[in-house]
Amino acid sequence: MDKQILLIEDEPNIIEAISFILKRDGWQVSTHANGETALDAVRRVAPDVLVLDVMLPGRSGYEILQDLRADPETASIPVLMLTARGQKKDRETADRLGATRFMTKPFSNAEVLSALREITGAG
Amino acid sequence: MGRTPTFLARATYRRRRLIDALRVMPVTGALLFLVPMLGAGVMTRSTAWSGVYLFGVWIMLILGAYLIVRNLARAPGGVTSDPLEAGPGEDED
Amino acid sequence: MVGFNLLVVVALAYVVLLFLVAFWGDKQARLGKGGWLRSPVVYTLSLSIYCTAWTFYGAVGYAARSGLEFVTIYLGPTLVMVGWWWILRKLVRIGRAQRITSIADLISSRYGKSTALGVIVTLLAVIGTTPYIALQLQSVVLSFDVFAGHATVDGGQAANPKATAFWIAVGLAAFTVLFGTRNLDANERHHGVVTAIALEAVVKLVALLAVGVFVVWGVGGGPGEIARTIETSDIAVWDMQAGRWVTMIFLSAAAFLTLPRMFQVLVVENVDETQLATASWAFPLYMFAMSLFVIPIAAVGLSTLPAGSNPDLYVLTVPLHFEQGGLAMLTFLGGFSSATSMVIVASIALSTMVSNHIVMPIWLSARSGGAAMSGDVRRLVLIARRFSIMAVLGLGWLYYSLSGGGAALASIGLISFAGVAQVLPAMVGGLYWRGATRVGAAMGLILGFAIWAYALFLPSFGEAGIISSRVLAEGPFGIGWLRPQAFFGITGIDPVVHAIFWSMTANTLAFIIGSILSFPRPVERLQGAQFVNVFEHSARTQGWTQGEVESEDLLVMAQRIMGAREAQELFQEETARQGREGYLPETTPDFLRTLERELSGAVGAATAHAMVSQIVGGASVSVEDLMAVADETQQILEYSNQLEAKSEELTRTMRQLSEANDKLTVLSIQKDAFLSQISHELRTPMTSIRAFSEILKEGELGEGKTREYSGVIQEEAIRLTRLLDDLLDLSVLEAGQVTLNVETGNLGNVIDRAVRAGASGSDGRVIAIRRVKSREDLTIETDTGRLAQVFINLIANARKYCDAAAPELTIDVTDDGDAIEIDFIDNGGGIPPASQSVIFEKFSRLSDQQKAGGAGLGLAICREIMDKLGGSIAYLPGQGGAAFRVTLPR
Repeated sequence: MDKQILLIEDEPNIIEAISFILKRDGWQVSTHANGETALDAVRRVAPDVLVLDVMLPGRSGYEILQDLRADPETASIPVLMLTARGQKKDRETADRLGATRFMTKPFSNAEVLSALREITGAG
Repeated sequence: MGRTPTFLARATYRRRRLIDALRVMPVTGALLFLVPMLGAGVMTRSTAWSGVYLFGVWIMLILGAYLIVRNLARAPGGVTSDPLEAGPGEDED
Repeated sequence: MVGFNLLVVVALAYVVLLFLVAFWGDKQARLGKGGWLRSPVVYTLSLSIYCTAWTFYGAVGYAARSGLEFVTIYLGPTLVMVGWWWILRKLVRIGRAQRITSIADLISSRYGKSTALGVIVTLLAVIGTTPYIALQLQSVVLSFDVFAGHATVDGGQAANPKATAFWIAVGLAAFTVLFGTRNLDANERHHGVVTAIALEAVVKLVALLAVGVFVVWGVGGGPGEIARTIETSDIAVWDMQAGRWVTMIFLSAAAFLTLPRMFQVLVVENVDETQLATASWAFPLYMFAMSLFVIPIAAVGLSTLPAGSNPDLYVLTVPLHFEQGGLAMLTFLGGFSSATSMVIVASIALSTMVSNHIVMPIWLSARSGGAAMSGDVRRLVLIARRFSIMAVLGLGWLYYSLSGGGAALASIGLISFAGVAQVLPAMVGGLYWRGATRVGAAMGLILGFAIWAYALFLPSFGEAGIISSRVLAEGPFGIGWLRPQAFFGITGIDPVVHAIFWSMTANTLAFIIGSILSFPRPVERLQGAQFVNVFEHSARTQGWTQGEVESEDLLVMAQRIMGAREAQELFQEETARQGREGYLPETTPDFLRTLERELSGAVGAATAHAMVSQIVGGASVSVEDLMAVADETQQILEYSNQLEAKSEELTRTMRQLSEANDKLTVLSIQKDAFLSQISHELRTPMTSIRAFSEILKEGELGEGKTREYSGVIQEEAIRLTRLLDDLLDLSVLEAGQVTLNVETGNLGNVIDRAVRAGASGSDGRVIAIRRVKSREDLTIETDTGRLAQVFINLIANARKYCDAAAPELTIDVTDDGDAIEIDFIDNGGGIPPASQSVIFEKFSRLSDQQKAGGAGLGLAICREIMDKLGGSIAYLPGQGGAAFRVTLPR
């Protein structure tokens, strides 16, 4: 499959867990832990799909998403948003800003894998 | 002062006059101390009797100041208060 | 007969007594038993420094030469005191309203806090006072010599006058430094000094009265006989010189107001206007008693002592002549007291002026920029004062040695008076005339001082001095009308009268003309109104506009000048007055005024103004302030005062309301944020646990990975548990359901326990702890376990968040009687002001500190605990790093 995925998340244990299951499933995984420099990382890596946490140091996931969608170069990258604040308005914000998919932590590994496959069309 | 009330209460009136008396004290004292200048250099004067005069004026002045201050101290606002002034500010220590 | 050695012993014993009395007075004041120090009697006695050795010994000498004229030196001050309602009442009120520290400060402050005027008056005072100090040293040396000469028994050798004077100067310097520079705030009273001076005042009065009584009843045979003795003596006829008579009364009155030492005791050390009212008759009475027997003593001296004996020493030599050794000894101590008390107060007054008006401005300009913010100002000022005292006494001694202590010194008392009297026009004009300006004051002072120096001071050095006899006789470069003692060719006037007439006239004219022609700066106009109208609104002083000022910067500066505790109290009070909590008040114009006034009590008005300006910025007087000055005459004062009080009240209520509203809004947002936060804090560890447990369940992992992933699960489970523990702890505390386990313990032990638990942790970060264990040795009665929990939290926070290269935490304990304050101060970057108000809220981690592993509940728990223990915890701004103060009730 060899799809490139970029994981933007700051909690080391969660990075470890997601990386592990994705690599095992055959993805190319890059990670980035800082909100402020996340956009640069996206441009550098040019991933096929982005996994984006909401609560990040420096900048929130929502702000990053908004900028991504505003830039033609990155506007079409599918984005899976993860959040630990499972309130309704969080989901609405994510939808409004153009997240492809929204998931609340904790999630099952299988769910994450299938969601990613779905949004990248890599059935 | 922009506006001073025309009529003051009796106690206030007395206090004002007492303060007037106090104000006059140094002027009176100065005049009395200068009296010996009359005739200076013309007539001869005894040190002893001139001394009695000067010391007499001096002690009267002290006595006068004492009496006025003693009366002023009876006011509720304290010895240094003047009914026509706004009084000591709030930041008195 | 009294031996010289015995005299030395008695003098030394008296000095030791003075030190003990001063120590005792200081101690009484510290113990709060110093109420009597504020009594009008002590105030009156402290005024007696007006009567120096010059009057103690010299009055009789003066009388022996010129008869009754000596009395003018006391009549002037009598008129000033009796007329206290005119000038002194106003001076004292202004002195307190503006926190005036010296006569130089008064002039500087009145004329727009001018540094230049402060320097001029200070120099004038130093030049005018130095010869006077020399005169005091001379009188003590002379009186020693009298005993050395009269000693009939062993060891009657003449003392080395310069060495004697030197050791007296050293002793006086030691005394003054010890008791005169204990407090920085010149507005605080020097209790030890005042006590010693009160004692000296009594000694000199008793001594002179004793000699008088002895002369009248012991020698003369009663008042009637004495009158006859006077009638037959050389001074039987009073040859009055009218010009001198008026001039001397005026001069002594002027000097009484302007002598730096008199200003110190009259105005600076005054604590209460009632003191002034009593002193207004009591001090003239003191002077009356001091002069009562002067003429009899002079007459008896003239008639009994051999011709050619020095009349300046009759007070001593008359008792010695009649073999009254004990009485002579008492007189000696009286003269000694007169000399020393004058020198002590004069050097305190001068040192305050030199340090505030010369050293501080130089220091400020040398460190332009952030001067107010750096360096230990407090120490600097104290050191400057100590050195100034030594320098002033050194100068006095030098003057004495160089002038040879000869006859040239005899007339120096009057010359000195005439010098300092030059301040009078600027002073009185400043009190009564709003139009008086800085330019006028400077012109008057400089011109008057120049004429004084040229016509009186320099010629006093004698013909070998700076002004030669040729210049005296023919004028400089042969210009006749500029002869120092006969301006415009008018000869035959007494030199002192001549100099005073011309210098005061020129001074006053220059002052008036300069003031009329120049235009004052805004600060000058404002200060002018404050001084002239002090009785109408003493609360108002100088105006500041509200600006974008960091009150934390002001606090840092204030701490350096006033001392940390005093500054913190001032800021805390102001914050409370504004209806808020903490240490950082809004920098309202009112607060800036208060702060500046407090600072000026320590460093003088000009310096305080400059320091506040450095932080607040240039524009300190607003258009409204000026309008207020202009409109004052039309104000209906009472009405506007009421309105003002109401509007202040309204403003305060509004501020409180708006703050309450803000707080509510914040609370509601916080509630949402709290739920959201809880969700986040719980779900994050759960995510890891779920993901890894699924991975583990699928198997197919190596031994290493299995172990690693199980470890993560365990770690996250612990994190969850800790979070739940904290939440439960907090909710129990908040609900007030906690039972306190109150026991008696030692604060040091609690801190020991907390340091052991908090100073190093599993994350490998360590922080060095600095403590003063001796100050921690306090018995406390509280829940020591809970208290330790608070300490551990503060220490652990410092360890985790202190960003210094070598993290260090200072734990400082202060016991102020009612409460114990424990400060935790680290050396990191501190917490930005905007965040200081939220750190005690739940989940208020300031930045993402996931790595630190806390949920942001620690400080919230600390606050709840301290609340339950009856104490408090607060952020302490302005300490350099992050600082927390835990207050525990006793």
